Amino acid sequence: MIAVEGADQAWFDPALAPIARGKDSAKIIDFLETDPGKPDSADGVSPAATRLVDGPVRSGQSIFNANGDVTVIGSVASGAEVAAAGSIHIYGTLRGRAIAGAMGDSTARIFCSRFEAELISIDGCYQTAEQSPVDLIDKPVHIRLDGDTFEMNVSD
Amino acid sequence: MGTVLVVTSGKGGVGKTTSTAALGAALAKGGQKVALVDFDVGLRNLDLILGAERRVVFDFINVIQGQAQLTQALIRDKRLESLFLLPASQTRDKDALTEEGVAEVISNLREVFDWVICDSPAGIERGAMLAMRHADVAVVVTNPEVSSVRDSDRIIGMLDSKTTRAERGDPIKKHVLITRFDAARAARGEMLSIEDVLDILSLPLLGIVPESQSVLQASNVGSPITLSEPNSPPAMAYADAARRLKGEKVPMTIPTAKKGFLGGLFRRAA
Repeated sequence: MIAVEGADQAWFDPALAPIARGKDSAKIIDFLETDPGKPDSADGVSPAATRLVDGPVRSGQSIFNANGDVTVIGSVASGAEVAAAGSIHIYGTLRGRAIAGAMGDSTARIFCSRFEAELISIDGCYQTAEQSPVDLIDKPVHIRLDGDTFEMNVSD
Repeated sequence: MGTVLVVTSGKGGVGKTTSTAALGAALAKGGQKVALVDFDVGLRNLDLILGAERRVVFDFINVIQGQAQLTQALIRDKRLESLFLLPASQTRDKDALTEEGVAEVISNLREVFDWVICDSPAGIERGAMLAMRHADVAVVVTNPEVSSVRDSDRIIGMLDSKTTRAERGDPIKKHVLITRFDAARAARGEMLSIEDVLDILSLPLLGIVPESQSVLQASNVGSPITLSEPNSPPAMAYADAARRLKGEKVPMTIPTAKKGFLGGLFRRAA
């Protein structure tokens, strides 16, 4: 679940999905089939741990961390999806989807070494490749949310 | 009520997705309202062939699972305003397609569109079964080679037994579309001839699409061949096939590249 739209603000609960905004956001966006990680620390991972993916994320794969950030040491292919409750860091090319602040966090950010994303989303706001500024393509990009708009900058 | 058409083959790589896009675009160009539905969940391609991959937000599975409305998931083509795509999900697998969900989506599409064209995945598994399940008409895409023809024969058997129409005792209409046909190789006996293919499959012929570089080029630029190069031999074959689907009588020809008079005159530049 990345967002809920059309809900009363009073319903908002940090434990639920954020209230979606944006001109064409959906009533309910629920892309993620992966179960929301492992909140327990049974395997020695602290609850707020970053999920590190040491390699490429291939088309069709879906990586989700319900407890923190996702860092990918490699590229995210077209048709792949990376989602995090926190921020997303990609040391490679982002060609697929990046969904940050998936549990409701407007301060979450997306970083990638090279931007070619199909879709980006922070806190329920989303933007497709077609809506993305062309001058940022193939550049290292840092994305944050400012109200209902994305602020996208080249991070040199 | 629109017509539901499945483009299927059994074998992979014979041109199902290319044919779906080309026939859909040809029908839409003729003023028909067309929805293309990608059933290849997990290995979607139709969005790329149509050049819509940068505009996908929601997909077929989101609609089936009630996470998005059908109208949110349908992507309108930028060139033809009566052509729409319902993309498949790339991150799920075919188990996410439910029998009831597919039935509902197809029946909703059927009410709005003249043609609902289902692009089947290869194989005879769940995805392919669901793609053909509600069809009224089937286009069986076949290459003139033995393995492709045998797989098509297998699929035709399933079209006659596993579809809702077959179960009602009202069999679906089936056509063969021969793709990647190379007249020179067929003449040398390196390929099955059209007659052999039709003899084995014993179905009416919808069209013969010649092997051509321009099909490959069209896929790479994300445009159905019937739009990007409407005068190329394969595009003309698809356009004729689309007219035959609408019930028009079009004489069957094997379109070939014409060598113009000038082509012979100006052979070299100075």
